[in-house]
Amino acid sequence: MKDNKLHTPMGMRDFLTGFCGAKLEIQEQLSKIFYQYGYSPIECPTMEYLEVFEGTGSVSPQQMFCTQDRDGETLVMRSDITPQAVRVAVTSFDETDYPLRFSYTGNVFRNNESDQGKLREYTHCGVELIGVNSREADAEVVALAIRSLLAAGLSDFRIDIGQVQFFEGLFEELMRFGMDTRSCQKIQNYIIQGDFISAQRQAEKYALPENLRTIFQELPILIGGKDMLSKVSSLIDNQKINASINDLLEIYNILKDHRLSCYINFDLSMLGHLDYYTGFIFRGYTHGIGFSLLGGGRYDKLISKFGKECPSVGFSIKIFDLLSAMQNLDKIRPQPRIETLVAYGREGRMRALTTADALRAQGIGVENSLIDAKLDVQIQYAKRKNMSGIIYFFDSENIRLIDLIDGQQADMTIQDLLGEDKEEAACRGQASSFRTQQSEEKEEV
Amino acid sequence: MRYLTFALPKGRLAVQTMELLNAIGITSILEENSRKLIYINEELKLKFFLSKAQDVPTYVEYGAADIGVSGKDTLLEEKRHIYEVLDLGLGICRVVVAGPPEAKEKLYNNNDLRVATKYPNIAKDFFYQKKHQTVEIIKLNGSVELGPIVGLSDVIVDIVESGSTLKANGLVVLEEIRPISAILVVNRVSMKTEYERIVDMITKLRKVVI
Repeated sequence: MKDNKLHTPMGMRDFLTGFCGAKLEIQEQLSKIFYQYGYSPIECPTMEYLEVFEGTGSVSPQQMFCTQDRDGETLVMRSDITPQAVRVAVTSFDETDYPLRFSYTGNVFRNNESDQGKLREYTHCGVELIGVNSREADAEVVALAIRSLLAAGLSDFRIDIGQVQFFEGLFEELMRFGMDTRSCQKIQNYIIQGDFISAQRQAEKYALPENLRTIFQELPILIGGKDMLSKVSSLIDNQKINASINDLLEIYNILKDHRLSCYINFDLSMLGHLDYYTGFIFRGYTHGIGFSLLGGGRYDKLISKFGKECPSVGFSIKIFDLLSAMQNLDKIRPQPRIETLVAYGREGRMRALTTADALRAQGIGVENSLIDAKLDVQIQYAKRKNMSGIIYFFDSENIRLIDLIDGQQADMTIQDLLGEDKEEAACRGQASSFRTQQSEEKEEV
Repeated sequence: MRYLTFALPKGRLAVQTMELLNAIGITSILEENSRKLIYINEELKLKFFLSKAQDVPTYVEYGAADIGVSGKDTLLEEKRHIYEVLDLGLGICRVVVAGPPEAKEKLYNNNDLRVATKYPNIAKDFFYQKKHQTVEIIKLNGSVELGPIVGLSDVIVDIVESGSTLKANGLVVLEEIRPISAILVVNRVSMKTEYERIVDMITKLRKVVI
């Protein structure tokens, strides 16, 4: 038996200094971009009543962590943030506020299979654009996704856009040739599972005309550039299919005006793994990461479950996959380190503490030494923490400067170090900001 | 150009796959009985590695390999998130329910049937989803035929090629589950990022696969 107190639960992790810093930095960067596009942050509870997710077409209940509160209500750890954002939109806003632009960063929980290297808690960063049904809105969300990946330092990635209604059109055609709903459903499931062979075999059980057979014979045929779209529309003439293809072309053209169309490809075989998508959907990929980095789409019916009709579109970025992609490209900036250790004898404390603050005000990382020990122990400590220097205060005047890079030590006075002016300026700075505070208070009185 | 990485299952299937690849102009230097695990074709920027058959879908799902060859039995058992793009027509066999002839009756009116298998997911899918029968699954790692003989289980779910092993142990096929063959699988992201090269390969292979 493993000793549980020493382990994190399966699929959940601790994030330590380096990685955690990089994670916070990229989250901050993304929030900033979202904000610049007019999306304001929201934060929702980590747990929700089961009903928020139930029947939305979000993650299946088997994949959720459930528990009960003391009133017997079923609570789940959120498995997806979109239904929460929708709840917020319905309960706290009305039509006059539309379009709503929300952004969020939060952890989601999925009770994934064991031993498959899959996480059960991961961070999603995303946006929802609620209250508009237009290709402009679709394109805006894709543009934002692209801008996010660019900001993370990625350049070699692609965004595939698709339309779930393509399949509705395809099934209409198949049913014209005698296929029943059950077979269509089977084909759809095979395609979601990526099993093109079984999809083709299922289709071949029916006497389909040449054009429809071609679609299934060359199933990756539904992935590609603009020429793929024209090839498919030349093969089938169906209203829904034509509408889907036109939708995608329009989104593509708007993204061209955003000057971002070079990242776009099309995938008509894309069906959301979440059932709430009703129209356009998209995913982002890059080399070296076996899974999509981000995904999203239009979910016009989800809100109606909460009692309102309202078109919406959104996406979320999987932060861990994004960080792995950045790591592969060496795009994770090392976290700034603490430069200086300030240590002191009893006589030097006041000057040491004020000097440390003055240095911090200049943007330098300074650690106050809490080691009550001889100077050589301080040096060992600072070296271990990879700092570049120590300032030791004997008293309020005399200091020793130890450069840990070249090993030189020099005794001097504090004025020698900071220069008379700077030190005074630092003191003045502190004093004046204090004074302003006081004077403001007076004014209020 | 980036390397495209192939994961091949050790053994006969790897050799047969290489023959197919040779036929479409992808020559490689896969040596039989060598202990080397990775081979590189610099000219075409291809890498090949051999792995345990059951692990191929895992390598492909995570993108450690872009392309792989895997038996349909392994794919059904592992349920990995990958594309299955072409039936290579190799390694043809069947998954069946087998047992002593007298076990046939138990298959239809029994709710405490014990099933020994290397494929618990395939067995569950067959009994629970298709036959709506509750059974007890016992996972074994090999020589599954022993199950009914030593009284560990009533029947087995296993792959059968000629049926000679079953016969030698006094077992018969009681029910067919499905035919099996080797499938060309592709990572979901590689399919997109390396679309041209992969589709070109699939198109060429489609012509040489009978």
